[in-house]
Amino acid sequence: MREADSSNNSFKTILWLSVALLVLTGRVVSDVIALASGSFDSTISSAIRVLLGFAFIACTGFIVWGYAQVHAYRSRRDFAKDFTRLLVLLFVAVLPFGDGGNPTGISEVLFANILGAERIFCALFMVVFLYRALNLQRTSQTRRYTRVIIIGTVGAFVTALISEATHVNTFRVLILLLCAVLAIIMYLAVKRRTWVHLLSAKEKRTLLLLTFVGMILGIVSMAFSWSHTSELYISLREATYGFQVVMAYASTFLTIFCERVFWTTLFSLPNSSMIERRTFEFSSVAYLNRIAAESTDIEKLYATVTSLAMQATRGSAAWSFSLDQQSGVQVRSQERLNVKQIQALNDADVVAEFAATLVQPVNIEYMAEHPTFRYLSRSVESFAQSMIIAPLRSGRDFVGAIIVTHAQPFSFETDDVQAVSAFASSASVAIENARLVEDSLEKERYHKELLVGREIQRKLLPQTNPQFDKYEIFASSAPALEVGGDYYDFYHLADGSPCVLIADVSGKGISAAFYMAKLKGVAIALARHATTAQQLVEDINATLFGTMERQMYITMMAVHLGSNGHMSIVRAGHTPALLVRPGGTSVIKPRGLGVGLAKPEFFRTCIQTEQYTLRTDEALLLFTDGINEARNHQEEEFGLERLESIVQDVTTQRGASAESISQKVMHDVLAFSNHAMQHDDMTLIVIRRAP
Amino acid sequence: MAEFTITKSTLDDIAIVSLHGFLDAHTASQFEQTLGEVINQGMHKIIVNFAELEYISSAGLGVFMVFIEGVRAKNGDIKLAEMQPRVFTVFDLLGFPMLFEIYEQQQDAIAKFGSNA
Repeated sequence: MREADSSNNSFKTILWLSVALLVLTGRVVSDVIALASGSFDSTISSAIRVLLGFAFIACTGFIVWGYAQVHAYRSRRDFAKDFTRLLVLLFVAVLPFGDGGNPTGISEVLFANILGAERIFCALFMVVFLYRALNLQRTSQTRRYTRVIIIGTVGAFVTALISEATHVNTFRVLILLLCAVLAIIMYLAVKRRTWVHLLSAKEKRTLLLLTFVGMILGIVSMAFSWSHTSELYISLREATYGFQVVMAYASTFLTIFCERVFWTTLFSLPNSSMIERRTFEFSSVAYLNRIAAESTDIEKLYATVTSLAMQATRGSAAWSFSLDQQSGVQVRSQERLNVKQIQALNDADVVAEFAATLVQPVNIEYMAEHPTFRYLSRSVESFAQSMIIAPLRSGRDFVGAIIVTHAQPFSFETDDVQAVSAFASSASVAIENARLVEDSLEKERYHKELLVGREIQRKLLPQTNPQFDKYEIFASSAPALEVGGDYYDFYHLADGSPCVLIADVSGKGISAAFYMAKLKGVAIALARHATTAQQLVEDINATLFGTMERQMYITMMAVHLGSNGHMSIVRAGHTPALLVRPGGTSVIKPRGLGVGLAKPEFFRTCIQTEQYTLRTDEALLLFTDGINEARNHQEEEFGLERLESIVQDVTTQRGASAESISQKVMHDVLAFSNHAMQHDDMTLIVIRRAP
Repeated sequence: MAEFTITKSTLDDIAIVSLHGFLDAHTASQFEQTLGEVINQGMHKIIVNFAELEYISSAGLGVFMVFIEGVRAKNGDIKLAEMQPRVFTVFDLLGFPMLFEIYEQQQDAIAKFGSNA
């Protein structure tokens, strides 16, 4: 759209420019004819001049207005450029080129017309410029003032036109009076000039020059355009009757505008650095807050805040560090300092320890005279003799600091400390936020990990109960929220006889699930070649020992099921099994050591197989410590005795199956814990002879 | 839940590390750090006193395995003493009595170190 608009505008400009040139040519031709016929001052020739003059003013008005539309003041630079253009135009306009009399030759006619055209253009350009300048910073009154000024100017123009045509001079007084009134309004309209304060020192100097030149040119132009005898006055009057008034008014306004802005600029010049700093701080803090809101990147935050603090205080270098219990003092960013210099500055963490005691930033004016830093001033005086230390606090905790240094002593003022304080406090908020976000991400990750661990465990465990010829086996498992490492599986050993394995990997979560997966692979591969349960467990230890983390181990129990209920049981550090017989339940606890704790040679000496026979009215219970160590809300343990008495009862009941025993036990354990938080997986395998 | 604390003392070249409270997955790293520090100080004869330890979990047991080989390689040892029955059961089930010397009295453990020297 904008492109279409601007091309449309430039098309219009070209159109009006062509018309204006045409009109100007018409003027020249008519002037030449009038001059040749000696009727230059006749009424007809004057009327033609006035009409063509009007036409030219209209065209120029359109051109200037169109130009203003395209060249909006998007920046201060745009404004300064336009100001400069105006001053050049005005400079040319006030140069006394002609002699003020009627033209005497074609070249004079041509010259006078071109000069008149330039002056008309200049006057209109000035009007539009002032209109826009007033609107740079509008107040509720601006629009009313400008309207009054424009209407007044047009009125004065018309009045002057009539005055010239009728030669009634009393109007001139009226025009002068009107101008005085409008000048007051103009003066009021340039009331708000706070935009001047916000300019940088350099911009102010430019503005000072522009307004000074504008004032001089404005006064000159004003003097000329009010004076009847001046070349400018005559030239404009020649161009169109009455237009000299427009120039006079515009020049007056320009003078007032430039005068007011000039003094404002001049007086605000000494405050420039202060205002510049405030502006810088303001925009920096806004920028910092945006960074803090957009990213959780702490590194970037430290880097930004350090750099901003250095710039705001005009320090020669800066650095920042964070402090936490795990990693101690960590340098987070450095500006114009190398690692060695920071080490020298923070010798034995002197800066960090000092910063930790601070609530507000402090200004160390001269390190050589400061009780804490005196001792190291010699070693760092080449690059740091004064510094500001600003603590970063998250809640009550000291989390780090920003340090700005200067190579000269007494380099920082109260203002600098305040600036650093502003940065430090917004950085503190940002760090706090980032920490909160990180914490919630951590929690999210942890929750995901729990789910992943459980899913792995679910997939690793057998999906169905085994169908062995002479045995009835029922396994059930209730995973804890955080995977506890319970594992079980069923195999056929080398001779085809069945073997049941139950295991508990130490540790929890993903790491337990990982070892579970490893165990599954190893056990499946080794079971095919093992002839006894003991060999299977020994081989598992031989394979896994040395591949596991030193503090990890797996407890397990393997039951090799032979014919006629013959069972060979080995225990590698696992919770004992229960053999439930009509006459009583016995705890089965063969000698053994957890897998992963000892080298194969030693491990073998620790393991002993125990032989049992399982009769049809009996049951063998394998389980993990999640069952007997289940707790209720009073933190009481379910315990082995309670388990024994429950299975004793249920097993001796008529028609008790492996499944019904298992369900009863699981039900009772869960009822006991009564939804108390389940800390560990609970796994139970019930083995009976097939009926 | 009871806190977990560790107290350290030395007797000639023997370091005595006493455990109090609950040693579980959350407190195991604290114990591991302390034991590591003792060994880094060049102490390789270590007695861990369990008299005031209420509970130990599988993660707590793992800590002993981390250091035992290194200590024995330097002719030292970690000996365990004065366990409450509950805690001993956990060690016993896992087979720790086959890996570590466990004494009812700390005095006996000290004497054992003395007789070896």
